[in-house]
Amino acid sequence: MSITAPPEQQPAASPQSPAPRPQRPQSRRVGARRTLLVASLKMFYRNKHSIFWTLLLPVIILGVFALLDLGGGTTAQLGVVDEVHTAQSLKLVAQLQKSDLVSVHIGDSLAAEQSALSNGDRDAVLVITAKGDALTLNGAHSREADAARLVVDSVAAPQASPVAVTTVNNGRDQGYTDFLIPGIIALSVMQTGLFTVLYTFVHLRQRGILRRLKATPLRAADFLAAQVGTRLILAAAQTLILILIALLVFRIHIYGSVLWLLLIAVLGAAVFLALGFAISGSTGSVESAAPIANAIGLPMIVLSGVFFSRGGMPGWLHGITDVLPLTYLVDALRHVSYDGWGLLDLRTDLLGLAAWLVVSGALAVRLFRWELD
Amino acid sequence: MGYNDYASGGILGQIPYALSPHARPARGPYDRPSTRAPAGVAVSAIAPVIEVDGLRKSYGERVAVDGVSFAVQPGEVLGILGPNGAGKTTTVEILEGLRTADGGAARVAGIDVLRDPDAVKGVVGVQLQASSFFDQLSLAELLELFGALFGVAVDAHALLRRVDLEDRASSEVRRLSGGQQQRFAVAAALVNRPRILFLDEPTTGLDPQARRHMWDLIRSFREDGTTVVLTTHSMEEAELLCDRVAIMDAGRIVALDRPAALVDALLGRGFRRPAAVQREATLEDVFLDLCGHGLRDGDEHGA
Repeated sequence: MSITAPPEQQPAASPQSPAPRPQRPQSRRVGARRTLLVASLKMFYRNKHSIFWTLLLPVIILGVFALLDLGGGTTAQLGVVDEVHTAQSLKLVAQLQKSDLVSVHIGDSLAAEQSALSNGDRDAVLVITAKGDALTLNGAHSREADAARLVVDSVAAPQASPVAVTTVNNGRDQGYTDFLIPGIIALSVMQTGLFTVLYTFVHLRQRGILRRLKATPLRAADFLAAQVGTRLILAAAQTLILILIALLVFRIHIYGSVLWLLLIAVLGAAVFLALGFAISGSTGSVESAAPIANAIGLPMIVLSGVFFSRGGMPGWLHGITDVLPLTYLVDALRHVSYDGWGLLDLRTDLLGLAAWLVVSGALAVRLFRWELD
Repeated sequence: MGYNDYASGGILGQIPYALSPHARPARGPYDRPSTRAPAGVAVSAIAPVIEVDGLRKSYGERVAVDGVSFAVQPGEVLGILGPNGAGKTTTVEILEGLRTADGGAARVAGIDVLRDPDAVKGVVGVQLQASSFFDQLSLAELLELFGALFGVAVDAHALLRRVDLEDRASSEVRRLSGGQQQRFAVAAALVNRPRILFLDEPTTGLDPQARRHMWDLIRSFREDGTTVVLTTHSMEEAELLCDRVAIMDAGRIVALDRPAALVDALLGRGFRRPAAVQREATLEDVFLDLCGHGLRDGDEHGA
């Protein structure tokens, strides 16, 4: 390199004012957040691994499950309402409970079980009355309903009265893929929040990149805000892509509002981001981040009904899994997409997610560390 | 720039490193007109820019900094020497606002560091040990990002030219050689045009060519009148670059003076070097004579 012409002297370089006039602290903080946000998106776009894990992997999982139609192997959910409580009816219920093909739910009232049937939680409902037994089938789940009918017929046939069968057809043609898509969206939102934050963040700290940022006037809250903003944008993009693939490739039916799906996904992403930051605060190395992320993530994937309905779980396990953040997210997304629920119907799930956000957000700010001493 | 000029000299031509014919490029926006006091002027009359008094810091049972006191004058290059674990890095990281202290007092550029560590970060420039920069961003993008963190506009190319990395402006840090990474770390330290620079072992792990290149850079800060606090393991580096050196051991400063004065004091105590070591040139001189002074940091970590 040869000596080039002198660059233009900037006024700031004059001896009188050697330093450029600093901006007001507030505008500097806004500028820092925005620049970090743009830089993070740029880094995400340039990192082929992160694109694979956040965008491609959920699509691959979706493809595998949808093609294998693994949902077909699940047991039929049979609601039973015993209104007579005779020796004969108790024997019938006991025999049904022995069957491997149906999972029996003893209902308190016919109305409750009918409503469970209509929102898809039951494939068939059997009501035992003094006048005779009646079986109602869920027309939308014809395969499971038929299985339930076979079981009921085989158990009840030797007994006196024949079973009256009616099919409730709610007009919906929903299959396993329709059920699966909201689960996959929830899964990938958790992946983006919990897993990638944990990995990225621990990696940045391990390499001293956060240490270098700590030596600038950047505040931890602004850094977190930019990180969270980046990942919320990514979660929304990821959800939109999955919805488009679901609609165009798998031709599913979304009965609720797509906008609601997006907003719920973003709320869920915020919960898992906060959890990821909270956990990464005390995680020293990338090597220890993996088992921790798996220890938290994998049980939730199994227990929160991502791939299969939680209907078959025993009651005590239901109580625990009801309050998992992934359960709230899966349920909210599924209620919108599969059941067509509106905002007011979702209040339990949304309140659950909001509670998780408050707790894990407070933990994230409290446990945040630029470096481990 | 004419770094290959060094290669033309033989052993005898290079002993006085201080006289090396290094051509400084034309002044850019990140060069500052010299404010350095002329040689011989007593600098003690000027108010110090860094004042440290009885600084203490412990990690659990281990005392890292044990009552350290010193002052640095504007434009001075202060070396902090000492074995690993002597407390050098802890001391400078407290002054940089990165670490809290347990006791004592420290003022940097008039700011009480212990009370307002965040304010210090805005006015000093730091190059840290064991730190790095984001991957997936180019050198120019990183400097612009750091400028935004300080709330200042950055001329990334001028900054990179200042550390002789302009041709790598669109590279990522991980593609740079060790010497280039250290120079980039120095460029990042300059984004807020600091009048005080903290350089923590900037030449550790560098080959002799890259080390000399870094020395030229530090020398240029000195000429610009920037105050530099330099921690190092290299006695040669301290002797060549520093106005004064503080020697630390076990968390304390055991000596603080001009390098020549420290040597004179040692000789005054009757010290004599073993005769066999007294030679006209060192192995490093041989190495540089054979390999030249030209930088070898082209693409050793390249794609």
